[in-house]
Amino acid sequence: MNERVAGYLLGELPPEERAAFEAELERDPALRTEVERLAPVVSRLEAMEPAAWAPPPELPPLALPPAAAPARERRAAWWRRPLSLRPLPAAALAVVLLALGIAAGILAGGRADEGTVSAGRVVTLVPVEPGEDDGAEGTATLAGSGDQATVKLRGLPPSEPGQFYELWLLNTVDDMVALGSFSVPASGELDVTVPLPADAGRFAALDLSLEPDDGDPAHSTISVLRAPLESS
Amino acid sequence: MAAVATPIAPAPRRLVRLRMTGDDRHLADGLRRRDADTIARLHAEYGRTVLGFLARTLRNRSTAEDVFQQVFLEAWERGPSFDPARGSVLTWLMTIARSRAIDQLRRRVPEPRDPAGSLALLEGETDPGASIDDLVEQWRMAHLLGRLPPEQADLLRRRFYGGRSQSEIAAETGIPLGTVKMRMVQALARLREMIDEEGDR
Repeated sequence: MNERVAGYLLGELPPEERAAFEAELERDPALRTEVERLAPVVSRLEAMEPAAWAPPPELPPLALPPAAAPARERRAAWWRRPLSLRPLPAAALAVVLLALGIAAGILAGGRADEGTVSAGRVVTLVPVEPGEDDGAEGTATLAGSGDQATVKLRGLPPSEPGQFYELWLLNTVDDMVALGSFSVPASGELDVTVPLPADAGRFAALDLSLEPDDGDPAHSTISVLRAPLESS
Repeated sequence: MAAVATPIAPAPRRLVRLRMTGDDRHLADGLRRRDADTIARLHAEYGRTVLGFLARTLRNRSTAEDVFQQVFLEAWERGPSFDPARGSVLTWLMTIARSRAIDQLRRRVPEPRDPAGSLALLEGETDPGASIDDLVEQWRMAHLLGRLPPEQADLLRRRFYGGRSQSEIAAETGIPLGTVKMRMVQALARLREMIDEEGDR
């Protein structure tokens, strides 16, 4: 390894030495190869901005999903699976919900574009995890105008203090719209009408979640019932 | 300082294959099994590089931490598909981080905040990823510098960050000039080897 290589690449050789080194480069292929190999490294180091040289930042703890376990061999259709929300989408969701809330206020008279879900179409909500919430079910009637849904829920566990239920239009964890929240009485039965501020035909499922009353507008990931929505 | 780095051609495929041994394969096995210890190790070993890149690219620590969590969650989810024959863990993680950073910057464009930072990354380039690619390379280099022997890393820091000549470094540190020169060329050569090992496999 030739220490003059560094001096040459760093531009630190005096003019006479530099000329002699370049003449040697012409004659010595091995030396030339060494220079050609190291020159891009010098360029890369020179291109590094000060922030890249700064001490590494403190690491935040890693927030792995609760289901940090081996994947099941056979997974159910996605809309039957519990949700796994990531922090940023959750934050983005809050922004979306705020925007939708504002939009709903502005467009209180209804939307200009019609959804693609059939007028008066009825969909059936079933438990997301088979075996859980046995007996819970629901139907949702998507109104003809496409801007509201009437949902009949039966056999649900009554809301406990600090909890409420929430309905969602759901595509992916990054693409969902909250429709409204409510409590379920001791009877476990409830009829509720919620607005459809977005085109239901654009979404894959209607989802009912159980939410803690913690002020977080994001989906809790605890889905109780779900119904597939397919455009017709 | 130069604005654009000179591309480094990947090493010959055969040569790198010979060097691709144990560690990445071990990590790949852990990722395939979704072993929590493997993710914890990735977090400890690569997290600071990923977070540093995201903080610089997004220019917002809080947002960077959110995207950081996305990156490692995606690594967790996609771990079983990681193939060490196609690239190193560092390259793989930085590729994920790059994609998520671009997503975040695109999301942020309409917002009036922070126009000088993130917007410049997008609007100054016809290819939104171009500047980010430079940043990815810089943080990959920063990560590799961390793998050098401390005396070599210190030498490079003094030269390329501190702007000192080899003579000035020798004077500052009391290390003989000849030793400084030899360490310098050894450090550059070792970095080149690591770049080759990290390169396109």
